[in-house]
Amino acid sequence: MLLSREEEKMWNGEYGPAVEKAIRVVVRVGESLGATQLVKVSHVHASGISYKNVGEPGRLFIKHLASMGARVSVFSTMNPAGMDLECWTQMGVPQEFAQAQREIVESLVKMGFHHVPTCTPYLIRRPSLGERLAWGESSAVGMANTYYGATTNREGGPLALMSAIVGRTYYAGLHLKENRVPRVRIVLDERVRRGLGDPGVAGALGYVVGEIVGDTVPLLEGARSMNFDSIRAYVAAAGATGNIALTVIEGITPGWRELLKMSDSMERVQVEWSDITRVFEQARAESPDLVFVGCPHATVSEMKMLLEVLEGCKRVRSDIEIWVSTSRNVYLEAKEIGLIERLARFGVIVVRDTCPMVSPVTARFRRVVTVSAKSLFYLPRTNGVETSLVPFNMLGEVLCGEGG
Amino acid sequence: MRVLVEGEARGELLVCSEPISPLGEIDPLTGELRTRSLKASISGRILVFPWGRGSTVGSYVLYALKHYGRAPSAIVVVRADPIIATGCVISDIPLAEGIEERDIVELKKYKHAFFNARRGELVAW
Repeated sequence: MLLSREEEKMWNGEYGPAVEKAIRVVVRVGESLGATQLVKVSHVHASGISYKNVGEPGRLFIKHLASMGARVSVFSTMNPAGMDLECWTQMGVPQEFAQAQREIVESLVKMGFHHVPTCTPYLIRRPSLGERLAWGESSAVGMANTYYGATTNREGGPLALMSAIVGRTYYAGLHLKENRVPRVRIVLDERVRRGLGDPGVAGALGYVVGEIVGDTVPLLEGARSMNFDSIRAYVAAAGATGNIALTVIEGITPGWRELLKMSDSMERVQVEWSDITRVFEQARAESPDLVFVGCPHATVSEMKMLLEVLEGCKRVRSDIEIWVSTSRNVYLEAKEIGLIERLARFGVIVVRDTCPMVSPVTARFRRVVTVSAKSLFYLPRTNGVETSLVPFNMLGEVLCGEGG
Repeated sequence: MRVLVEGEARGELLVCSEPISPLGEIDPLTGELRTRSLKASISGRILVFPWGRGSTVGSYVLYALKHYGRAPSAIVVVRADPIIATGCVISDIPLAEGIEERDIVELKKYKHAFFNARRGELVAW
């Protein structure tokens, strides 16, 4: 690896032991992935914050780093924690868990991380076109590359921490234009195209594409009707079932025409409406004990969609808990326009800083219905909870009691 | 094969033909791997699979496996990705890439292997 003079100083310990350790890890991972130089980044987003996911080893790793005097050198944000940092007792989070979780977040804040834990860092600081980032959290990575036209690889949690300290990542993977060229053309049938305005349908498409495409860059044709929330749901699911960090969406992804021109031959894959319904029918949606919106963290518009569904019911079933998970920022925005209060009238619980995927309290539910295809992948795997996916337009059938 | 993290391992071989998401598919406390087609312990074994998928928290799962003494003795993949590579670098788990996808099917016939990461060799029997 060719290092700049500044980077050599870091390597030689002139900026202290934390910087030295950090640059050595970034260089070693970079070398293993074929990089010959580092690249400066302007925003780091670290995943692996929830104590439920990283456990004691993760807590010790992060705490050790902070105690070495590590400081971030660029704007840095963190992924969701395992609990609402204020209302964790109401959530039923055990005391020991809360203590360990607080230590992780406090260590990161001490290092200079932005204090709001969320999987939607793009709503805290909007990435600009062509900007270089080092982000973890596959759904955020998908948004950065696919929607904002910024460049980032899917960084592993600890690597993003190291990148935050040195303000650099390795120059390889998606930082190279040739690796952003689509290799598989995804062609959608008419019914799928028409459905994509619903984040549930778009998420199911991502689920299918991730399984088919694996780890290459797909081109999505005829998906111009996708809105912001649909794109979020799509990239989140594609990053879960597959290794997809970038989808070139015709008409949406910045620079899609140029990337398309660079592509010589593409395998063609047709996705039918029946492929989508297969995802919805994986598990039964009957008699859930939790209905959940907010993976990735809900936007104001998704909360409004949920409210619309609830207001459309003559009576809302009282035997189902309804959760929305979102970031502290979006929560405030929703509160200002009275949305939180109106949702609360239907018994909706809005949790901040966390989500059912990374929280220990999810284990008490048996059957979950969600509009998020990413959680369809993770909830059964991380919490052993039976999970089914429905589109927003069918949520009423689940939530409305007798008499509709 | 190209060696990414140096080391040597000899012992039982575990071959998984599907991509693995360490988060959700490997239990860091027990070392148990659970994919759609496979349920087995990866602890102390030479683990072969196509590539990593899923959550970027996966690197911490590898680190935790090492912490609890449940890590595989080596990992061999078709293509290394940042998540698996980072996990192996910070946990010192020997890692190599460049095995052919069709070799994964062939390797399923064997129970044991010797992994020489210095030379980038995997010998199975």
